[in-house]
Amino acid sequence: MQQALSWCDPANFKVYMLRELVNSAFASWLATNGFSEAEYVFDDKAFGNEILVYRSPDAFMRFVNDRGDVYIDVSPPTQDSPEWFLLDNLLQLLGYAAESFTGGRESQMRNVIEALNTDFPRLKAMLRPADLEQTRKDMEELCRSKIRQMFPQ
Amino acid sequence: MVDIALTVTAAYLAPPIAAGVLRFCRPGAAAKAAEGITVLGRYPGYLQKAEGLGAHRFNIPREIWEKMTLAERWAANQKFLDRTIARGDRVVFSSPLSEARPGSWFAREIDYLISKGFSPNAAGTELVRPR
Repeated sequence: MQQALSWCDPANFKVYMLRELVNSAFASWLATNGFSEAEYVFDDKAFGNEILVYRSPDAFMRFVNDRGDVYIDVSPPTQDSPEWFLLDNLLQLLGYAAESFTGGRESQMRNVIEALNTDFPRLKAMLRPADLEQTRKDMEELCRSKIRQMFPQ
Repeated sequence: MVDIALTVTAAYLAPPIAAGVLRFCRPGAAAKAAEGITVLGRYPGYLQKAEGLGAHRFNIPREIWEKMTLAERWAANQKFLDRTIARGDRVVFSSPLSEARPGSWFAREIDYLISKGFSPNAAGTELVRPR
């Protein structure tokens, strides 16, 4: 039986897990939305971490395995210097609760895919050149807001 | 790049690991100006930022990491943070504090330093040492 992997589950870290994870949960969504694999990095010098990058004309998407913690980042489609935003935070700017992206892997994956199915056009809009500066500002405010919540004093 | 070779004591590592060597990276001679900085954050950003600054960062090759238990991994990470504290380093983030997911390695590192009296600056870009 396959061992369940949480997005933040260091106990279940294993090398070469990222492609399997992405294929099982995101392959269909990525293909439907015009993404194709552009880069894969396996870092033997750093824990066996992995990076898997997909690109479309509208956005880049990066899956990262950081010692068993799996993150998804999204960037405007700028070839030379991608500016990666954590997908969780972008979705929170669109109104999703932070709690939507915590918990077990299955529910997290399901919630992310549902959010992307519903709001990927809005998410892409946040990455357009005309809106990018506002997105950066909103991200900074989200960060400050989270810090105030985490450290009220 | 010069690494500090740290022979890990058997006190908290199983024999195959205790016999080995972990490397906690530190700045090379060319980056003297940036000594006294430790970078924390998500991969790969924290390694890139530390490289750029010539700063300390936690990094272990896959070959060794794979052989360690979860407890050994966290013990090694804690040891790195204890050295950061002992050196009096500035602790800077490569990723916003808001990207530290509960339960992640990044979040555990922050929680550990908070438990030692550190606190985030207003912008969430650094951890400030206890006074």
